[in-house]
Formats: sequence, C-alpha cells, structure tokens
Amino acid sequence: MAEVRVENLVKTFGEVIAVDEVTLTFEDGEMTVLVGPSGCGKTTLLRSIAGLEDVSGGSIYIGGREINRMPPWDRNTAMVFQSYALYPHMTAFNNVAFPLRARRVERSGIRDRVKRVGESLGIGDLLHRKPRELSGGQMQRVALGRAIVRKPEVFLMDEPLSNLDAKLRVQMRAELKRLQKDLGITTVYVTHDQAEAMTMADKLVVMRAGRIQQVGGPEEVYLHPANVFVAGFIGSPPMNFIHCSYDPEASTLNAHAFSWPLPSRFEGAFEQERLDEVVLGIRPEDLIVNLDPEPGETLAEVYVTEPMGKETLLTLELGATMVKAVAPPQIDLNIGDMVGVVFEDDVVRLFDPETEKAIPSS
Amino acid sequence: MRLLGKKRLQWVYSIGLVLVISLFCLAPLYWIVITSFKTPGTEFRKPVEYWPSDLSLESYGVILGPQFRIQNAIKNSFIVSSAVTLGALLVNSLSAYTIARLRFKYKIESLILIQLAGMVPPIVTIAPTFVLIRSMGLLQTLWGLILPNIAYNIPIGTWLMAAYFAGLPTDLEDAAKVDGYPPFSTFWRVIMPLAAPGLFSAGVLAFMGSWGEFMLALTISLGLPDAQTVPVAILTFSQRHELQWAWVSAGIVLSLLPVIVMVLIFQKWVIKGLTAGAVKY
Repeated sequence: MAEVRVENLVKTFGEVIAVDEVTLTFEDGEMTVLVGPSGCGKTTLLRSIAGLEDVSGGSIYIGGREINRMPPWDRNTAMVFQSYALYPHMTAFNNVAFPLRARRVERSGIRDRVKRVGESLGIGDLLHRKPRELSGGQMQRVALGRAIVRKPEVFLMDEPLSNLDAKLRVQMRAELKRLQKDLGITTVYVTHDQAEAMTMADKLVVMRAGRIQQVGGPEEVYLHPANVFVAGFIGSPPMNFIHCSYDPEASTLNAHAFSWPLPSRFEGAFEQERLDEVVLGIRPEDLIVNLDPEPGETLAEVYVTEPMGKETLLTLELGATMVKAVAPPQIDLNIGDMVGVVFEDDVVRLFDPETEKAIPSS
Repeated sequence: MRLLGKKRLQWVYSIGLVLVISLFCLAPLYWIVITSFKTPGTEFRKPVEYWPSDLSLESYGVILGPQFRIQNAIKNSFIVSSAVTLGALLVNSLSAYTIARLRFKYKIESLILIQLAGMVPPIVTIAPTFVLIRSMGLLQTLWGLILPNIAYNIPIGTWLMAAYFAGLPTDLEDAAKVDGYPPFSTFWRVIMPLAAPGLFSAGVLAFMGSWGEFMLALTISLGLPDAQTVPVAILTFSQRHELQWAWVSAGIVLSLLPVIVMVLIFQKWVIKGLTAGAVKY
C-alpha cells in the first residue's frame, strides 16, 4: 500500500498532448476515479503510472519513490483491463497464478493463494476453465483475481466494467467497491461513465483535454462544479444552462422568458467584477414543475415527456432554451401543455460565460 | 424463379471452375503416381494407359536398393527441412516481433532491406553462398544446406509472422508486463503460444521451401551422396542411366509421402480461434 503522486506529468504523442502538466495525489488506500470524455487523457495517465507509456515530462512517485525510469515489470502495480486481457491459452488458474510465477513464489504457495482468491471471488470451481469457456462476468472476476492475488501496492483499473451488461455492471460496481475497501489498496480507476465515477469514488478527478478540471469528493463535485464542463459532465440528465443578462439596476438575471432576482450570496462577486452576462446552471431535479401555474410565475411549454418508472423526465421549452426537469412518475402532462417553473435560490449555480468558471458565492 | 435460376447457374459455374483447377493441379500428380507403378520402359506405351495394365513395384525396389538408396536422401531432406523450419521460426519470429511491436529508429528501413533481400533471385547469390560455405568448411555437409536455407526463408517468414503478431491484441502484452514479465519472457510465455497458427503456416512454408530446394542442394552437395537431398538424388537417376521415368516418379512419390504425413499430423495443431475470447472489444 502506498500513496501515488504525479507531478507536472506530460505525455505527448507526436503533436498531440494527451496529458498536460497534471499534478495529483492518489491517497493511500483510497479509490480515486479519473473521469472524462474519451480522449481526455485519463487512460494515458493510468498507463503512465503502470509504466506502459514513457512519460514526456514530470515525475511519478509510488510510496515516495520516483519510478519514472522503472520498467512496468518492476513496479508493484496490478492492472485490470477493459478487455480483461486474459491469456487465452491458459486456464483461469494459470491466469491468476501468472503474476505469482513471475515472482518465483513456490508451487504450493501459488496453489493456496490462487485457490483462496478464487473462492473469495466466487470462481473457485471455474479455475480449470479456459477464458473462452467463461462468461463476461466470470472473465472479469478472473482478471480481478489476477490483480489481487499478489497484493500489489497500487491497483490500476481501466474501464473494468465497460464490457459487462448493464445489470451485471451495477452488481460488480458494488462488489468492486467493497473489495477495494476490504483490501485497502490505493486504487486508480478510469471510467467515462459519470454514474460509475460518482458511485465508486472516494475522490473524483474530472479531466478534459489532458487537463484536470476539478478534484474533490463526489458530492462536492456534484454540488459545486468548478466550471461549465464539470457541471455538464457530472450528473444525468446533465445540468440545465440558461444564458442570462444581468441588470445591475434591478439586480435581476434576465433571460428570454423570465426574470429572476440575483441570489444574495452572489452579490459580493458581482460587486467585485462587472458581469453583464452569466450562465445560470440548475440541475433537472431542482426544477420544480407546477401544474397549475400561479399568476406571474415563469411559464414553460412541455416539449416531450419520458416516463422512467420511478420518475418522469420532462423536456420543457423555457423561452429559447430547452431544459430538463424531473417530475413524479404518474404526472399527467401532454405535449404543448403550459406549466409553471420554480426553483429555490440555493440550488442555482452561476458561471462566467467567458471563462466558463463558476462564480463564487459567499 | 428467375433469381433462383441465376443463383443455380452461378453455383454450377463455381463448381465447374473448382473442378477444372483441381484437375489442373492433381492430374500431373496422378500421372506421377501411376507412372511410378509402371514397369520401367512401359511409361510411354501407346495407346496411353491411364491405369497401368500391370502394376509393378520394380521402380521402388530399384531406388530403395543398393544402387541409389533414396532413403538416405529422404533422411537428409528430413533433417535439413526440420532444422531449417526450427531455425527459421526462431529467427523469423524474433525479427517479426521486433518489427511488429518495438519502436526503434530505422524500423521501416530495416523492413524494406529485409524485403529487398527477398527479391534477389537465388541464382544471383548461389556463387557467393558457395564461397561462404566453402570458407566455413561446410561443403558436403547438412549444415551447409541448413544455414543458407534459413537465410533464404527470412524475408517471407518475417513478413508473414510480422503480419500475424501485428494482429494480436496488445493488451495481453501489457498485462504480462504489469504482471512482472520483461519483454523476452512475455514473448515466450504469451506471444509465442498465441502465435501458434501463424507459426504453423510459416513453418509449413519453410519446410516445403527447403524440401523442394534444388539449386543450393546440388551446389553444396557437389553431386556426392553424403549431403544429397531428395531433389538432387532424383537427378542422379537420369544422369547415370538413360532417363527412367518410372524411377523418377517413384522417387517423387516417396519424397512426397513424409510431407503429406506431416501435414496430416500437424493440421490438428492449427486450432482455429485460439485467441477467441481473450479480448473483448
């Protein structure tokens, strides 16, 4: 077990900068999730820690020791691949035993450890099978077994659940999280799935175009996104954005369809900086839909309704902007109906349209 | 209905074409086999005998007898071809893996150089090869045949294996590296077992190539029996006596047998879809 630290890490592929000056600490025993759209550099960062990519600049430390020049076979990391990468010519047993053999563990020790790991992952009776005789979920477990059997300092997981079907993915997500907590091994987990990232992470790292956008606990990132990108990426359905102009006289935010008094906690920021335009961000679950709008209330037209079972997802035309809202399951609404839209002051996030950064509140 | 007729016509055409091609390939083989069972001197009897009127093993008796001892030549061929196959597979897979996977300067250039070497007709290199083998003191030895034959096989073998390696998923190699295996161990323990079907095709190519190789074998053996392979031995049937087509045919049939047996044995090793299930994308 060890802390992993990267400092000013740069990785370029020719002209393309995959990882751009990233400095980050992966705390000892924690699960840190790297999340971002494809091509954001999260997998490259992971592979650099594994030693599978030569870094172009910066340093990587595991347990305080710089390992930039150490080949992957000497770094005590274990990796789980999206493709599982099981050796097809070996049985599940030999797949799990493979890293132990590299470390010259004696034969009886290998047998015991592989069996124990197999039992703990529920694949004890499948160890004699070749990978092609296993289902996706079973292969996933064998791949996990191969990673945990030798008690590495660091787990590296590259989209390990992406190839499983939706139901199994949710199940394995929980098992994987529990396994990581039980073993207490520092884990770097890469995913493009924001829901998976939220549920798994002790610490969430949102990346875009090789750069870190925000680091924090899942709740913190969800509630206080640092910029428009993070706000739009984390959360499903994503946050609604409404372009507004600011009227300093009346201290209101004005959009095409409504006018809203500037929440007092932003007043400080607006006094410091002259902002004519802002982006108002509000999560779909924070939009309250009123079936019988009171006079003077902001109105929106129902564009479409999507019943999801436990709730109904509404798409509303709010002036020139389409917004999403979450409504109770059996709501009686049809296309074209007019509804009232309300929200509380404290759920509103404001962003600077130029820098896309969140405007601080007091 | 008309569509069905068109499809049927297409089917008839394809089968017809396959039959014609098969006939074209197999007819000479058939002719050789039946000639080998004819009594020497009756090969060209008129009218043409598509099935010999009197089956005779006389030719086999002669070429296996004390006069020719073709079994020695078959043994030599077998040793040479097996050694060439093993050697070529080793050299080719290492060079092919290097080209397919490792990053180094002048990679493309070295690949082009190897392929250029393969385009030089063997007759151009026969004299320098002879001089080289003579200076190594390997004339009239099987080593004198094995080493150049391995070299001849490098361009095509490397190309074939490189294409195969390039098609293997890189995840497996990455996994092996993280699991604690340096590149050379990864190569032996992960790559080579997966490359078995590719190795087999390359091996068959190397084996057949050196089995039928004539020019070098004639040059290095100096026409003497010690290092004679089958093609050279068959040539001697026609040198010492007037050309006995029945003997030649019997020699060819005997030289074919081990190859056919080998193919029959090894074909089960080509397990299709060995890599299936390894990696899922």
